[in-house]
Amino acid sequence: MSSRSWGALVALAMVLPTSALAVTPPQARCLATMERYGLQVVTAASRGALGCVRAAERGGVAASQGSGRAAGQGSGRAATECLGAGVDGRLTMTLRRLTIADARWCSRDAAQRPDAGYADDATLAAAARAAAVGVVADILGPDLATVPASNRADTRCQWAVVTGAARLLRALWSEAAGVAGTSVATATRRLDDDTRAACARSTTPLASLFALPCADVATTTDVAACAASVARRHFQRGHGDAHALTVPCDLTDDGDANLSCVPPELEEHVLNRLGYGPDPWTLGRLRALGVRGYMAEQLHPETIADDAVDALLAQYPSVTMPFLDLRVHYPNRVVPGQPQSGDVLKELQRAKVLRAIASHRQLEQVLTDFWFNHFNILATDRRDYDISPYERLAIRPHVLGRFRDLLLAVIRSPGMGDFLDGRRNQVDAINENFPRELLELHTIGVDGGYTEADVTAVARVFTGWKENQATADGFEFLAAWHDRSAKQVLGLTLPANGGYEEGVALIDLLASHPSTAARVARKLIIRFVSENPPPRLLTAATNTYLATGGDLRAVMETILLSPEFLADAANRRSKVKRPLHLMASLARTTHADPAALNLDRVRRRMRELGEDLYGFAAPPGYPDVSGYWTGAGSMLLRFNFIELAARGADGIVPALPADVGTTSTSDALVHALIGDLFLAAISPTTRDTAVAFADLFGSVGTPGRTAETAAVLLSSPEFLVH
Amino acid sequence: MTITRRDFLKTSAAAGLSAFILPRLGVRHAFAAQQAPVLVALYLRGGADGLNLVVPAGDPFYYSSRPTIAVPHGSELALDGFFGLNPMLAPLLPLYATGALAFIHAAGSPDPSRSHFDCQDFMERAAPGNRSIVDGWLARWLAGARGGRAIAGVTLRHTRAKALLGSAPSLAFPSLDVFTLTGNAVAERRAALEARYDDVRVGTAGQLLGDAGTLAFDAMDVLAGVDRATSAIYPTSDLGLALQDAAALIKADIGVRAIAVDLGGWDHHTDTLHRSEDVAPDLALSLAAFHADLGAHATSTLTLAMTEFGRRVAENGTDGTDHGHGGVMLALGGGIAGGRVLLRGAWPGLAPDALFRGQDLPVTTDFRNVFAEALHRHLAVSTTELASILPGFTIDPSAFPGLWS
Repeated sequence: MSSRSWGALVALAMVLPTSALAVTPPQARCLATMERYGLQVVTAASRGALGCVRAAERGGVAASQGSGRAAGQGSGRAATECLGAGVDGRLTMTLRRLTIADARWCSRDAAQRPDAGYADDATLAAAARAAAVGVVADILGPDLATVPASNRADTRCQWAVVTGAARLLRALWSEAAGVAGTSVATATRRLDDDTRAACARSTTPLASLFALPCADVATTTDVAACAASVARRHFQRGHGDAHALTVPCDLTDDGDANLSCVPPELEEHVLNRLGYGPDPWTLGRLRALGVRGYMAEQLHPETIADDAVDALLAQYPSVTMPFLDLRVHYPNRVVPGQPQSGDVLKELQRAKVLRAIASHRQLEQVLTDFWFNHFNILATDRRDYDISPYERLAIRPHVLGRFRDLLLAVIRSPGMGDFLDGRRNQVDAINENFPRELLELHTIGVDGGYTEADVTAVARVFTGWKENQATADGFEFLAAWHDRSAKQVLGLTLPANGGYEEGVALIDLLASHPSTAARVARKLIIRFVSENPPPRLLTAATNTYLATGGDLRAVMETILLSPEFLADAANRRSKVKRPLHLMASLARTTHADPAALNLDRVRRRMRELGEDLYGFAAPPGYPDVSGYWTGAGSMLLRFNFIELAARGADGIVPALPADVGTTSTSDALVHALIGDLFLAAISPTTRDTAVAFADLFGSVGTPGRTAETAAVLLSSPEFLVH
Repeated sequence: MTITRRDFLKTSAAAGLSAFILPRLGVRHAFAAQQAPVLVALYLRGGADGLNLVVPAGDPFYYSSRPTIAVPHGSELALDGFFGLNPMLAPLLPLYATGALAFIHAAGSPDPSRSHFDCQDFMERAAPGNRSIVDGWLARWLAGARGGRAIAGVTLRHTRAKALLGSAPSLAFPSLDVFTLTGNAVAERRAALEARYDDVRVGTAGQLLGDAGTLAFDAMDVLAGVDRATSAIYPTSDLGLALQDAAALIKADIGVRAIAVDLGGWDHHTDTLHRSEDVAPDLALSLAAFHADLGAHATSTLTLAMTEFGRRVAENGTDGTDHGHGGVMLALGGGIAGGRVLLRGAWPGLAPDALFRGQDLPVTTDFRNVFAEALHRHLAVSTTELASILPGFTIDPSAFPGLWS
């Protein structure tokens, strides 16, 4: 996109929020002046941050001793301070000039102050500095830990990337400010060229030279692209904060709405719907791969290594144990020193919490929860041995497979067989419990067009489908229990002596039924997009289901790549988080160490919060509507849980930023916390009430001030929704 | 002049808030001598088996239809010359004897559905077969009569019962225990959150959270004064605890008018004799304790127990019963003329040719007639107002079960 049209776009974006208001000449002068001074702050702060990198290379500030991301964690403090302070003489002068300009052009009288587009000098300075430092800190790590002490080729490579990104940031800001300078196109090209030239001779794997957003790159082109996206993102956020404007970054980066630049609102939306909220790993992947790339990876969970979570899950052997071994190792009686049958459920609950918090396969966890709920069964002591294999064998392997295979596995499972009595259904002793829910809840729906006679006929079809825990999936077909007579079901004629295969034929009929397709599409859209499913998307997802023979991965692609999911802002933050989501997103956004979780405490808390894991008694599962999850009492339960969790007293140990003193103390603390806890913008009310709270709580350094202020922010409506 | 909560936060921070909350919540202390009538709706979820709870012992087809699972002949506790009470419900017998308790048999929904979820919705919305009516019958009553006082409606579980979902705000909480803010800096946190939640109204989720958050703080002050102390002995079950809270709310006289409580676990497709032990004694003990606990409030409190459908007359192949149609309802307190098993017309009988679609106990009393009589006689709703609470239903007092007559 040419710089002229780009500038016009920014101009448009700047005008839009104020279009209803006339901008007077004094106001316009203030806006234009402060844009220029903001750019000067960016330039000076970039220079300061790059100076820290130089110092780190020379060992002038303590960064990593040796190479690699893991090294130097203990001694990184000084580098952090260098980046955090970054006030050299030049920046000090610039900030001073900014304040003077504000006093002259914007604050001398009320008529100068614009209604939108500029707040005050302090806000502008903070945002511009944060953007400049953020570019360096994102690419080389917040403590510059990736900067190696020796190896000049690596140093040159890093320097080319970080200076190129800083140049791009300045170019973007210049264009937005309407100031002549290096064009965005030139800066982008130079970043790419310089990186390729400088990094070609690097012998160290590129991935180890850069911090997380760019830590998974393989080629020099990838490095340059990642650095460019870092610069654009910091421009987007910093310029937006500085001028209280939202610039549509995907349009401003290359003029093409191709999701190459992900605005923070979309980042938050993607990570909160395809998972349990942002954490450093998912955010890094999303930024490295872009939205489409991230979705593609999450839709193929088998390609995502999940070693850390697997290692933690090894504490819970029942989670992977075959049926018969469960009975041996978790006996149904007290054996001193040995776990008992009841521990199977506890371990599964702990595993569910752990996976929600720490698994890299976030979408798989959400879908496993979704489909377990669709085919809900209740954990009771009678089903001690059934519940864990049910999720492991019947649900999880099929959540991105074919619905027909999922349905078949569920019907064969001892878990469902016991919950809805199918395992006792036999010729001359028909039980209608399972058949009714199969039609009403699992497949075609209550309006799907079946009769009471169909319910009975379905029961007869599934006579003899019983459990036998000696088999791999706990199922056997017992011909002696089967009703051999001919049957009529939903217009399908099943001749006599159909045996097991007539059940399979019925499953195929139900799985390929248009009513089933529409129900599955609707439920998935309610879960992932909107509780008022958009008709166009409903049709599209249903059609995908029918065209692919019920391929759930294809249906998910249709839903996730739809404009309704990606672009309709009304669908963002439109659902109230369930308790598990609230808990997991809190742990993830506060960087709680998964290994330090007290999972027993957390799983008990889930029950108190109203989402007893594996404990919903009725076949439809937990309702997926926000109204169900918002009662007056449950609000207080959530506030109390969040307060406990934020100060590490509820099984989750958050890592929150330190409460450090600056001149504007409560503002600074709240600003730091917001940056840490939230991706997308939060309301001024939330910020103001948190600042007021921090003021009331006590002075800087009062023990608990950070945690309690974080609790107030995490109790805000912005955090309770997704 | 309106004082917004943000202004309040700015000026007086964490100072006592109740001074201006109470008027907004609309709580007024009624004179103890004129206790406002209260309705408790107890939902027995899963389809309770009316025939095994209130046994038609005088009907030989009961025994022939249920060779394995009938309440053994002679073990039932006589209610009248025909019906007997399941011995698991024995704690209810004294209430029946004193006239505080009545049953309405062959009651239920005119809609033929055997779906749990449809039938529960139809009943809680008092709109059988009509899925376009989505607010609850108690919510409609509260909206008309109570002018949006949230404290008037309470669901004693995490989420509002569908009977109380609607335009009238109401409270939901699993226990009075949760109605407090705990942890550190409670006063400051409350001030901050209260100010925050007074200013959320963006989008559906924001609206929901804003309403629930604001209600939570308002109700906290009112509920803080509710005394749960009681000399009644409740079973330590979810229902027992919920009814103990319900009694405390009623006795505190803070304006609660409708309470919804659940008892799940009635869907006995298998082993019904064994599985009834998990629910029937709990029901009887909890209700008996509740009635005793209410004391002077017992006559101003009517409890209606209902279920989505009765079960099949004939037992199935697994010592249970599948979904059926007509069932039984229970009414307790409220000054009714109890001690009777009420029927509209004669007992339809369990002979195969007398059954609904050849399988189920017919419905002779539409559940809406029970609701209508409760609304009219107990809650003093006029017959014209009844029409809007029970849409599409023809109000005919002569079809009421006659709980008070």
